[in-house]
Amino acid sequence: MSEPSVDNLRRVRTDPLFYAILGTIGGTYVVLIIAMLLADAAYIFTSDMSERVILDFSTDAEGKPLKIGDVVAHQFARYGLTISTHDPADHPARIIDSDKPSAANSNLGTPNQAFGGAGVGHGGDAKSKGRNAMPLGKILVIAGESPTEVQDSQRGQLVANWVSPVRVERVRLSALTAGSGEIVTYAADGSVIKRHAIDPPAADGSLVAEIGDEGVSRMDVTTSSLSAEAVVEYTLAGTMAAKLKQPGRETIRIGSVRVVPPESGQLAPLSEPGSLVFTWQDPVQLDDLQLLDVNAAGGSVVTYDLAGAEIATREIKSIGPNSVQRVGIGDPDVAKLEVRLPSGGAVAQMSFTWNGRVRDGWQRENPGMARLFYNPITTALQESDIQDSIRLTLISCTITTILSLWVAIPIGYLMSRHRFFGRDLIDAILDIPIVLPPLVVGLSLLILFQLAPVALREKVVYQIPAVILAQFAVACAFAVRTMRATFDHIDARHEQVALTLGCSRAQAFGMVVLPEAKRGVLTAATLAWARSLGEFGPLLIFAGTTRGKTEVLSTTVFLELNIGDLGAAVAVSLIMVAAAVIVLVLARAWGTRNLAI
Amino acid sequence: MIVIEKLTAHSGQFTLKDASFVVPTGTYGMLMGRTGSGKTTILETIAGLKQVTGGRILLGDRDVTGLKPAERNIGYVPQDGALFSTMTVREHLSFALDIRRVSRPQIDERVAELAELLEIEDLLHRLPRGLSGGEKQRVAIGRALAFRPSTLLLDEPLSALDDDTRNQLYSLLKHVQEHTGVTTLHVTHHMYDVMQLADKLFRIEDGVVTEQPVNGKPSNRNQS
Repeated sequence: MSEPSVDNLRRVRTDPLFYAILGTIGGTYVVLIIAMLLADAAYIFTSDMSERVILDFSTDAEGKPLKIGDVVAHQFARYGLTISTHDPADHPARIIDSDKPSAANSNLGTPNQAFGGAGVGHGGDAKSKGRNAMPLGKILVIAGESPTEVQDSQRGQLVANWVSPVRVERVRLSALTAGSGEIVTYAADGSVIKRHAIDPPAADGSLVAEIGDEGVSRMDVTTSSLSAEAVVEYTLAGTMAAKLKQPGRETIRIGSVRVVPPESGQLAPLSEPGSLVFTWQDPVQLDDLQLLDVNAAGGSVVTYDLAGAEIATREIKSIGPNSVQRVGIGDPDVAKLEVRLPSGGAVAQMSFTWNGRVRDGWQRENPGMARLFYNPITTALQESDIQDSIRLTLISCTITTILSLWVAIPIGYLMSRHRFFGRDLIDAILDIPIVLPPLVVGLSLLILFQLAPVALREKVVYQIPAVILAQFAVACAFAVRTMRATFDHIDARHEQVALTLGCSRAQAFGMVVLPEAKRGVLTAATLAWARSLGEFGPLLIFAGTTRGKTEVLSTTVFLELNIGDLGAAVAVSLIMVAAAVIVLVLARAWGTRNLAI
Repeated sequence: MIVIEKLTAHSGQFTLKDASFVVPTGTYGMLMGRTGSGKTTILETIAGLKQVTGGRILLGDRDVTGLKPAERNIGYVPQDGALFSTMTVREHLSFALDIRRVSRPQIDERVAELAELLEIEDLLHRLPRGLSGGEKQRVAIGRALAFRPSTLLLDEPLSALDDDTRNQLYSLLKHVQEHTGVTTLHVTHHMYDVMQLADKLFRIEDGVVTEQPVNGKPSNRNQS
């Protein structure tokens, strides 16, 4: 057979089909990598960053609780929202608590008696339009006449409900401070069985009220006492007792219930026409309003755009006291909302969709450009949790890298230069962290530290040292491999010559080998760093995923995904991609390319 | 003087057994043998880089058999030079003196002297990467001679060089040896090298070293 001619070789080299096949198979992977990263980037720059906000007036925009009587004006400035009234000086917008109605406002939002609350009024009617079955908590009203404290009647109520009707034998009350009140029993259909007046208590504040009513599914104890504790003695009857396999009747005590007196100083809402005014610096889409206790005709809701032109006016119906009505809006680009209340009433809840930030005029007109400066990445970078996470990541990865080099250089040198007993075994052991499932690494560390003294364990497990240790356990193995390959590539003759020139072993290592291994050291460092950056499995188990404590970037991605914030998760992922790419480029620029790792 | 007495050493499959020979002070000894015949092993045992299992090595009247390489005062030039890739030529020449904490002016003087002797004055600032084969050998020889060793061991320094460079190095090696009077043991597998350089010739075959006459030269020239 003749030697392959140059012509034959050339034909192979230019065989288009062959190279098309190779290129297609190999190129698929390259395309996949690029496509993944492009998809992330595309998501960041196209994702909808608008956010639905539901104001229920229990907290301000930063999550701090609003208190009864607070004047509301700039508590929602984060949304660019200012709240005012037609007369902010004398009648500002204030918070009151509908769950603690005052004497004058016993119908203000709290579920009424039909639903286990203290409220009275139309909203309590199960068949009425504005049924008010859920406590509304804090609500926004226009403050009434005077900000002077209104002394409340000190009335409290405790309510017991039974799934299956019972016979209530007696109620033992204690810690009573005053005498008057009543106990009302209700049947399953809501009808009153009997009202029992409460007698004055004994000197120690205790009282036993004999009831003896059958078929009770609900019982209210209403007292003017400042406090009360009740033990209800009742017997299960019929089927329930049969199910319990306890024939006849028996007496069961339920736990004591403390009656909390209503908060004093609740303000009365304005009882004449007035309006609550909401102004947004940057227009939002207004979704809906929950209004409470509008019991006069003539109310309306008016929306305005940024230029001040009216968008729409919607009438508010009068549906009676203690009733809730939803006013659907759905107007985009609302810059101002006026809630014109005819006589009293409150805003219990409002929802709108904002852009996730307050834009200025330039940003509104150039949404594309604004996106470059404002996207999930920039938002993420501004969050203190994520800043902390980035800081901890940089610190932990750097410490891990230093520790890894500290260990990898000696081991790599020993393994490369010396033959000793057990060398093959150690070689295999050094590969274990690379092949071990990450979760197993974390679990093994956790188990190991169960054996450690408690003081040490508490300082490490679920603390920052655990982050570093977990990263180190895996990253170091890669550094060791790199260093070993590096030393394998440095001719041992170099140290031998250095020895003949007068060096000790240590001098030969420090002055000749280490400088020659510089590129390998850098490669090992970048690999260890990148590896630490991506570590998650061991961290999950050994360091925990506590926000702001042992949170590194990989943890952040996990936490953001867990709370469903895909934008933040992708943003943090891209920050990690950027960090990894930078490290990769540095490794390429400095490191040796031909290491057999 | 290099005295090898009944030297026994192992290197992988190869065994050197009871090798004895003497290179008198100031002479240029050459050790010839085929590839894999143990030439390098002998040099390494003399330099102290390989443990001996029997016999003695004397340099002058010193028994160095148990000494560390650093204590033997030997200049060693391995095959291909083994230059330090991170150091300039100047740093190579001053390396052994830096280790010995010689004063800076003395080092500078010695470096200048060596550079002139080896004709590498123009290369002092260069890194090994850009040097030619012959230049690398000159630097390696300079590095080995810097601390004025009594003995110089050369491991096939000329094997990878072209003919012109090889001829230049012949005259250089002769010149160096005459100039410094260092006792040299040069390992080669080229008869031509022997004809150019050798005062004394030893042949190694199957682990046995025998002295051979050098054509045209008295075998005991310069012996003192």
